[in-house]
Amino acid sequence: MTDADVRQAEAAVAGDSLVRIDNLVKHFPIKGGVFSREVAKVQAVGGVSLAIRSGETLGLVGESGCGKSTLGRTILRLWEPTEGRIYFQNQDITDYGADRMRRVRREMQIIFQDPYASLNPRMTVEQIVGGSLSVHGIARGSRRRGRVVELLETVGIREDAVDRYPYEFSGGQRQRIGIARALAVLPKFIVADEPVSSLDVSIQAQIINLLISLQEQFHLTFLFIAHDLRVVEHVSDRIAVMYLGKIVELSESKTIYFSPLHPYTQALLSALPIPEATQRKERIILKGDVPSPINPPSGCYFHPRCWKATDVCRERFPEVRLHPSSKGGAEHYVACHNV
Amino acid sequence: MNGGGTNGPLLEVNNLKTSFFVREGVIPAVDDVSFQVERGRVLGVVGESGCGKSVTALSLMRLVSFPGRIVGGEALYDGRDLFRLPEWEMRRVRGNSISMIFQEPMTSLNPVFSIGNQIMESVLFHERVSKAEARSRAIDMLRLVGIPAPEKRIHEYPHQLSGGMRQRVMIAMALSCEPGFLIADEPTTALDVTIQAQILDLIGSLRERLGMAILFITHDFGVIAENAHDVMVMYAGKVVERAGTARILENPLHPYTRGLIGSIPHITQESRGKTPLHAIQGSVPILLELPQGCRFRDRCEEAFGRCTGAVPELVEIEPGHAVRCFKRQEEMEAGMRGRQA
Repeated sequence: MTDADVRQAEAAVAGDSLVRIDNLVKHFPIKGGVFSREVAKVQAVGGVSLAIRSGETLGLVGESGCGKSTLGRTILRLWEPTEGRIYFQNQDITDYGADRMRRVRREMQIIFQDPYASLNPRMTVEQIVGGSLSVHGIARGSRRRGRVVELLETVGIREDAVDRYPYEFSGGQRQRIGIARALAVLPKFIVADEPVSSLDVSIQAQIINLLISLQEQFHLTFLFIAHDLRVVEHVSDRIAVMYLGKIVELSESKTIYFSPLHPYTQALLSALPIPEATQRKERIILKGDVPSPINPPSGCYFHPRCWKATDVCRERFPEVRLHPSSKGGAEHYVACHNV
Repeated sequence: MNGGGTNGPLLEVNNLKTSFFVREGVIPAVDDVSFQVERGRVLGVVGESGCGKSVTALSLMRLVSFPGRIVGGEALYDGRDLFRLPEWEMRRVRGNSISMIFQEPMTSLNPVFSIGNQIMESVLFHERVSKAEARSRAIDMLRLVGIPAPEKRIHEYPHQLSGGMRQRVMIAMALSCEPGFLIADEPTTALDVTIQAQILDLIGSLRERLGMAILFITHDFGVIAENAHDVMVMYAGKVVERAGTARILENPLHPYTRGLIGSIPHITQESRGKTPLHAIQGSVPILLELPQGCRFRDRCEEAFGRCTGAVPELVEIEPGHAVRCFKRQEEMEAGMRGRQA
């Protein structure tokens, strides 16, 4: 498979894709010295191409610092991309100005990880959830209030919450309020950035169930970002695995979970503690930490921790390619010289 | 897997009660908790935030701070009651016989001292060794926990290390005096899975090498499954279920334990994704406003009349498997009557 074939395969799905990104790059400058000049840059996202199909949940997994949250936010243009294009409903929104972007934002929303930091403590629940209804001129006054009550009911919060403040709610309830806020404008696309990571286990399950039922009810498309592979597998149709700003593997979630190809994905899966009494297979213990995205290693970024690394891995960066094992609609993309 | 196996458990906690005295009332954070840990064994403590698992650990170390206080019970370590030791003697126990590692290594290490300094401090306090010996011990410990170039690293400060490295330093510090008992309070919760695997692997191999007993606190049944011999599930300050790890995973009895295990996505080749998980309704109760009767009853799907009236006792339903639930107890009694008839 060559690059051109990949493009072709990607183009085939581009037709029914809701969001598509092409070689997206996001660098953050590191400033230093007396004149605050740029002395180095953090390559948070280093050239990612993806198509998110309408109605699917695309899971995005990786360890902290791999750039998964940055990617999610750059797709929404909460951060401006350094390079690359972003297409939403087949329109290139990369250079949209503030006005046009605001119209697009009605269709794309985000749910944040930390329900304590993401709700303004000085606003009532009505102001938090209804804010976007006013901004987009959808509903005002008593109509807005009625709509907020409806939304709260959808996410399982009692009606009398409308005039209360965030501190009066538990973590799980706050996350529900955050979800109601994202739903308010009836978006098509939601980036869920670690929506359950900071919640207790029993509450995590409640929120996951809620997201699954909302997807069905409102025909939502999700980019579901998380570091917990069990959760991601459970909610996603397809999974993309990220390492140091790059996608290393992407396929149907069952394929990723049961037949991973990339050594990093294999290590990630084998590191998962499984709550079952039966004895498990040998665990792959990776050496060392994730390298710094300021100064990534030569060749394949994973090679210093990889037990399968060969000379070519130290020299040449492996591009994402369609793996020959892919058949039918179940494409399996991987970026590794040795599989 | 069995440790030394000398007579009696290494640690025996009976009826531990720790409360926090606040303006709004008394918070029973740990309410009548009893357990034993034998030499070389790992007891896992599972529960969600506010269940009292960390306060249990801090109570054992006598590190509960104001407005909290240990109000009852005893903790027999090697036959001596830790709660009755004078403070100076307790100080000889901490870090020497019993050590603790915490969830957040960044807040548990002192940012203004080098890591070598911090490891040497406890060695110098507990043992009659020279500074040079303490230093070489610190280097050995860092090597033991897998920190490369320890001779150089001992001069570094916590902020120069990654999260996984900091946790290793914490472990090196905790183990520097070769304690018989280690309390690990969510030691891997703040870490990524691949680093978590490294740290759990490390704790496991050090346990075998040093023959320590471990009290392993976590909210993750996955971590428990692979690292603990026995499990104790806590809810709102009370132990609700206790059994061997394999036993509890195969046959959880308490509705709360069942809910916790059911909340974790169970993935098989056949399972179709996007099915609802078995979630527990509601949220963890505020300990100031505990419901009458069973503390879990307003989140429980199986609650019935009796659950409102009284607090169920922790009853051994099968040998080595105890549960605090009226429903299970009635089922057991019904089963016994059935067999007699």
